Amino acid sequence: MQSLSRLVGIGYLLVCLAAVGASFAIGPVGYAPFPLTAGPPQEPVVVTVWYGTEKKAWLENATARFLATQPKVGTRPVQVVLHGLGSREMAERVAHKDWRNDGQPTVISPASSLWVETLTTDWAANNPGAAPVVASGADAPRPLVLTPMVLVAWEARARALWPAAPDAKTFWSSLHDALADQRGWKGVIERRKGEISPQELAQLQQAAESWGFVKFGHTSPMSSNSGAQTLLLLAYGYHNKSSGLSAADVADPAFQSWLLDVESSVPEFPESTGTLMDNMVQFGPSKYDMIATYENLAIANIETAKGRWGAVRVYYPPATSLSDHPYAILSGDWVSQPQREAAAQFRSFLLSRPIQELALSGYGFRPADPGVPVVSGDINNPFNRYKSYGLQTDIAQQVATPDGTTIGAMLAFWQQRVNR
Amino acid sequence: MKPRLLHLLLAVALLPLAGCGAITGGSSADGTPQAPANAIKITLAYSPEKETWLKERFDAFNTSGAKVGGRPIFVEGVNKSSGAARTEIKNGSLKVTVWSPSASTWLEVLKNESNNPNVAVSAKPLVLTPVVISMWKPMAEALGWPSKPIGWADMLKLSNEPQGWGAYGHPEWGRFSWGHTDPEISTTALSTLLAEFYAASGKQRGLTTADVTSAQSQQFIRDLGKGIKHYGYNTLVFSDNMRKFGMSYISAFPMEEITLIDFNKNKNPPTPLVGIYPKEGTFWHDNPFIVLASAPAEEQQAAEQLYTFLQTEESQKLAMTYGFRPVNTSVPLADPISEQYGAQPQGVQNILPFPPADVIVAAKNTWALNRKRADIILVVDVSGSMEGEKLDQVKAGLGTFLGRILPEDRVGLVAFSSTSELLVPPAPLGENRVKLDDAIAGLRARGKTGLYDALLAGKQALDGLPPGPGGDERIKGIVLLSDGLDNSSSATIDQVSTTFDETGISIFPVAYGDDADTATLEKIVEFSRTLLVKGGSGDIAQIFENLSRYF
Repeated sequence: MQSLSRLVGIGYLLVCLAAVGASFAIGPVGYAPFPLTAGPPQEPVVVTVWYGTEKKAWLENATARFLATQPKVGTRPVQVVLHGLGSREMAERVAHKDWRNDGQPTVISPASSLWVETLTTDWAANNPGAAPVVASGADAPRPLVLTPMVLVAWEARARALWPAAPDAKTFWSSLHDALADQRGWKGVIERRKGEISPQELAQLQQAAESWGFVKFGHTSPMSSNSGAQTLLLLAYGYHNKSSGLSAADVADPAFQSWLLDVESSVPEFPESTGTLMDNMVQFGPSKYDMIATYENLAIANIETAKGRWGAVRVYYPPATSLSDHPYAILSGDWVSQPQREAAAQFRSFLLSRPIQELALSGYGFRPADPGVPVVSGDINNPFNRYKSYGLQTDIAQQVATPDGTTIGAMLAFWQQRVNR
Repeated sequence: MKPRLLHLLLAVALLPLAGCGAITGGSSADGTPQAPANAIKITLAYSPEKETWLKERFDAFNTSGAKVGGRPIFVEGVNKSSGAARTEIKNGSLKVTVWSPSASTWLEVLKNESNNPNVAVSAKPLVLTPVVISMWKPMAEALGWPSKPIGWADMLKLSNEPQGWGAYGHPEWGRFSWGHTDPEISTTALSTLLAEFYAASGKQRGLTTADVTSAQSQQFIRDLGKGIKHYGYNTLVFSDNMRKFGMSYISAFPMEEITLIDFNKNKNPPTPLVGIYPKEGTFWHDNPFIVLASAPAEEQQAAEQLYTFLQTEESQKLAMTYGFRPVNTSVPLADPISEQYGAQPQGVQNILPFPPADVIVAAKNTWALNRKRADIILVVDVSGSMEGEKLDQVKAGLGTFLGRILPEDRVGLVAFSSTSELLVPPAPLGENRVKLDDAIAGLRARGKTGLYDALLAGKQALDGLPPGPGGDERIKGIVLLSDGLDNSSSATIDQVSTTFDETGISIFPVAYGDDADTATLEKIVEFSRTLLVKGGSGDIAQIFENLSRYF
């Protein structure tokens, strides 16, 4: 028996020695640490994707799955390089061919088609006579996933502001009045007199002593899609309409004063929606009572928020905007035909049913593929699981995307009067 | 096959595997990882409360195989108080890749004071902890804690309450007393100061320079000073003294939640402290990871990898075991952030925004002008045993000390050997400085050591002082510089203890020489509730700079 063991041991050692010898003689062989190479390597086709950071987790997961399928264009392997950037930033940088160290993008995927439109306009202005930079036809931009803008509030505070579901007609005005109240939460509670029991009123009055001002949060519209969307929703809310927002509406002094009231209640303007949502969870109601964010980020943070500070509540504005996360293949002269083919393959993978279902169940996005239902009988479906937190599948109304002039006027006003 | 041949084969077979692990530089005798020869070295200056966590994490990072451009990264730490680090970065004496003070406030101060808004390339939070008012649990309960909201303004009300704790049914606790560290050095002190100015102006946002320089605010600071029994160098020293001396040392003291948790969890106090989360709001200390623009590009890249490592769930969970709140939102809050250790996980209900840098600088200046003034007697041992190096060190230390004391502080000098002599009667330093400098330069060592008699002489000099201008209450203290071997006093240590009891005069002994009678000096520390300073070791200027912060 001892001889047999020794024989096995010696055999193993001889195999190892042979492998070492072969490594020195002909290069690496075998599984790591002796990786096997078979023939000359093929030059990979690299797809560089500039994407809005809101979908970072889903996109990274999906990319790993895509690469695991060993995709190829002809015999060349496909590589995908992801760079997370702000939506507005990526549109501006492509328009100016400003690549820095982020590679020349094959694809951009901002949070909203708004920024593809902005790129198209800016490209034409900055590159007169050049062909359009966004591909058309079969490669034209297509939405990857959908998510509406929502407000996320700490439940205890939201109930103090809106004991019942807020009335669609006074949704924005009631929020504005609370944010502008110089007595802060004490003033808000004061207005509840007569609506709630004296006992509940007394409890809220005591709690409000520590709540300070009503604090609202949204991102900087200069860097982040959700910040720009929030300003548009506020403007539509003030003018009580859902389409036809104009530069004249933005220039209305009464609206501007109203908007400045709202903005004075915002402690700071983070550059990305992910950072804003993180801040909400990290600092709780001490920093933000309510923020404007994407539905998918609200879903992703419901549990962690509850674990730190308590329950949150999700509110849908009476008319909201839908971020459609377009996948736009670029047609600039830095993009080769094999790259376009590889980018189209990657897009098909992202729109495949399993990856669309992953976006929904794992990350709270609504599938862009209408064949994948938002609601299902699955108990883990986030819209079932978090229904009691205010999540709803139906979106009553969407606001229309204003023209570029109106958006420009809004951003210019904000930059001039608010930018902090 | 012979065993020797077998071993040889085994060694050869395993040879290639030796290169598969992380390249490390080995370890020193105490097991601390050493930098490999080709390493990219980065340095991180951090505030003291992060010491244990970061040292452990640095060791783990240095053996993790992290690389930039194929070169291993090696990180070294520098423990430095936030305010001191900002001064040294500003004057160029501290050169680091990353700076992590307790709060982002210091970055704003540095930008303002150095006139360089681009001093940092990035600043991201590492871990969080709020500032709380720590109070002995029975006292907090007497105020209505935990059901009644309590705040900064309540501390002022208590300071001005002539009946002290008697107004709350506990006359045996005496007057309310409050501690304050130096906002030039301590982040908690700076945050507290800003909170006090918010309370003084009745604001919860939009604090301006006009607010902090208003007559009302200045009076508020002076009124609050009435309740200040002790100043201190930094929060950790206060925490140590609260453990040693208990409820009689001080009623309440603002500190970071992590210090509160550490106190209750690790210092085994007979009475626990609880955290009051001020109703007007408080500040979060975000311990920013600031990559400095002065660092080379590859060091900046290496620093980013370190940041990612410190944000992992493992690193953040470890930070939480020390009482920090994790920045990584995937790490749920758990013990020790709990009521068991005096904290309330959901206690912070409102924050006060950090004002712009010019307001912060104005707040510090207003504090310096309106803080409680001090009457100080320097009691210097010139006995024969102090001859030579010890006396030279005393003279050097006193020079630094006097340079840091405010002109309105009244300072006198008693020298003692076999007998004591009041060489310079106490008077405002602005008037007395030349006399003091001359007297210190002329000190000569001879004779025996009448230390206890000298302390009584020092007390007599303080007792003989008229009230300060406007009748302001003052911090009263004796700085005793000695090697402590009393051999000629007529008084005893017990008599000294009895005489100083309940006088409010603090004695800060500074010990000289390895042969110093530290047992005697420790007894003085015990009844005086102060701390023993080693005067002749290390950086004398820094020691006396720190000592001056207690006045």
